[in-house]
Amino acid sequence: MARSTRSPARLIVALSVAGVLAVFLVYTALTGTTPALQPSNLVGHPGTVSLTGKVVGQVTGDAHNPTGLHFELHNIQGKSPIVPIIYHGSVPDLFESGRDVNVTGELVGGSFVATALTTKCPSKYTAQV
Amino acid sequence: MLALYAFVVGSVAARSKRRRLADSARNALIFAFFSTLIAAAILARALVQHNFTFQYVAQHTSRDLSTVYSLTAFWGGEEGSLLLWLLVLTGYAALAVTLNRRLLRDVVTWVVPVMGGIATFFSFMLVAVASPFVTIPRVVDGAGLVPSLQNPYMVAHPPLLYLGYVGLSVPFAFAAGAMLSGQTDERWIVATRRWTLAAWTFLGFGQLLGAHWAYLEVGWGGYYSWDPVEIAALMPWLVATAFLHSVMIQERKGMLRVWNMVLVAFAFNLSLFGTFLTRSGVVNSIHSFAKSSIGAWFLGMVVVSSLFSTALIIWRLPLLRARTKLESALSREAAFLYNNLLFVALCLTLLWGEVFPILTQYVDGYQRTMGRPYFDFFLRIFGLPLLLLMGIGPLVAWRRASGRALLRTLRWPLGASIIAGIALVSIGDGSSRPGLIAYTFSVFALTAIVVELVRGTRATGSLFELIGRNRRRYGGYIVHAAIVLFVIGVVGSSDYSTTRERQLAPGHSMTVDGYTVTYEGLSHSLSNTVSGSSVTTTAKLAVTGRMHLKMGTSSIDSSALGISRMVGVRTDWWRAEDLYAILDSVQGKGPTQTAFIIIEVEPLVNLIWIAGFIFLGGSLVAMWPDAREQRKLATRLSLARA
Repeated sequence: MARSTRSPARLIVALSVAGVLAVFLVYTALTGTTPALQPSNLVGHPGTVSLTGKVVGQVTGDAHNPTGLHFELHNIQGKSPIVPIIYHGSVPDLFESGRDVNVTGELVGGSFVATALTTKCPSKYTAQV
Repeated sequence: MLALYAFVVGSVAARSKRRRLADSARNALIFAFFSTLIAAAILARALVQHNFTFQYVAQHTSRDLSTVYSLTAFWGGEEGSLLLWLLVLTGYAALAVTLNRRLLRDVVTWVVPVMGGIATFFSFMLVAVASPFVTIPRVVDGAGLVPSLQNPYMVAHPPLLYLGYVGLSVPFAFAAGAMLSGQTDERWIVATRRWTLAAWTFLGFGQLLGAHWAYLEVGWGGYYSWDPVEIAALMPWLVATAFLHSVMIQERKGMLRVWNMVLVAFAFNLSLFGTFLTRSGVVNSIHSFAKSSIGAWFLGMVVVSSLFSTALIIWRLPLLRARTKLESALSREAAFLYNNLLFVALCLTLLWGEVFPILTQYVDGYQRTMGRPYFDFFLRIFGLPLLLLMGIGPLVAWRRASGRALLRTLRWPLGASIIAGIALVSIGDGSSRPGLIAYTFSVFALTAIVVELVRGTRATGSLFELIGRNRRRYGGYIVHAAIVLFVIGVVGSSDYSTTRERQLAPGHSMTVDGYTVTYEGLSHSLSNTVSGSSVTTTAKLAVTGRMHLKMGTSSIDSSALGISRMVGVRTDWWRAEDLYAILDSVQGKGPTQTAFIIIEVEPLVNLIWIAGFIFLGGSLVAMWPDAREQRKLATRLSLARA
């Protein structure tokens, strides 16, 4: 096997890394990220946000009716303001009062209008005794 | 104590080159496995016997839970998972050091303290931080297991992931052992190839089982959501994939020796870092186990392990110089290098997507998350060229290839992909440009594999003989074929799926992509268990059109756990397509109850699951002992020693 004094390997590596970084930086600069908030720090964030909290009180309405599904969220841990949620769409498994959920949407006139709702998986590592 | 002994005494023995002491440390590591096995047997017995004096048993089982699912609760909780992790780790360690004790004596002398150190960390976690043997006053019944986790896929999915995660510690320990002993030739790679391949297979197949479970059980019509927990398992798999490719270059050409050390350390550290990310609660996940006490400890371990690996590589840089250099940017070696860069770049972008929210927490005071578009974008940017390389790599010559010769070699794959592209556009699949590109590239890669197999079969006269003569190579091609099928399945079910939602009264229908689904009404059933009662409501559906059949989809309202849904899935195997039904909600009372039904048509989705078994088969072929390879290995080892 001949030894080459001028290997293109380093150039390939350098160009590839530079290319990757350029694509990456341009992409992250151009595309928006979504703020992930809790009820306690929701105020002052216009536009679409992801809100995580615990469902408190009664769940009323119907997610497939124009009035929507109504429920309220507060922080999973500690005290916080209660945020009223209006949701239209498919209701995920195990959704009920007391569950930790994540909603995506925006604050409109004091209510959070959600377009996506996910129940946190009440899986293995949650003590239930 | 045995693990600690293996770590401390093994280090002293390796440094002072005291053989009897080193043997003693190795025996301690082997006995650490047997003592962990006894602890595991005690926990398994407690789970099966519903011994609720153990807090762990009370938290994860109940009296009405079957024996199988009571046993699966072993890895259903954090403490049990750690015990399983230690069991697998010490089992792997005992086997690896026993099998290689003569072949790689100097390296194994250092592998013992490295594995001992990792085992000491997990033993400490089990004893001091998260023990499954904490006792409580006896309770009448336990909390039970969520119904969706009582599923055969969940029996296999978590332990397979652990087998994969922990398996990556073996090549890491041998790499560290090679550097510590100064024996940095290719022997450590040869000795650990099957270990890496096994870990990689477990990790890959385990993730696929998890995806299939989500598809059938979670009831949202998907199988992958780019959740931090899912990404944490994908990252080490990607790096291990890069490693499996680049070790071939090191074995054959003596190149990429530093790179391979970096990859193996990176893969192992990612498996620890993933555990930190998913257990510490620092990232927002739909998995509620994302907050526990062990996260910070794992971060500490990642820091120690990363510093240790980096220091070792820097220290041994003079010994890790490549014997040869890349001669041409158009060669098999270069194709492997591009492949590696793409895999690592994809992994780094995923890692950035995981870490970015944590960084913004410090800058903005709250997290900013990268959503699905970010991950989909980079998957396409790096995944599509990888697909193309999968077709080019095996056909390009070693050392140096000419463009003309390469074009001649690639004429069949190129021709097939162009014809496929035109055909796909003509039948309307041009609606998704990434989908069209992925399909075309898939045809290219698949044709390249077929060309290779046909060429080889002509030379040997038999396909089986061809595969038998070079199991590693052709096992790899089978895995490549599985990946291509997987990609076709993912593209079909994500870019070309159709979803319709409608509220239906009994007797009413909806039409979705050639299927007419008629809602025939509801049936209800009540069941009572020790844990509480549950009502199952099933929507009966009649399907006409492409398939003629009856199916149902249910909603289970449990007094203990709330509402969960059982999706209805019917498969058209000719099209590898699924008709997927979800009972979203029910309105009204009596015989005129209406149901909100979601129907999805998932084209080619079953190729994903079929690909999983082909992937498994290909990996087994590549792992299978090969007398010819053993002879090559013996020659290589004698050369390395000379």
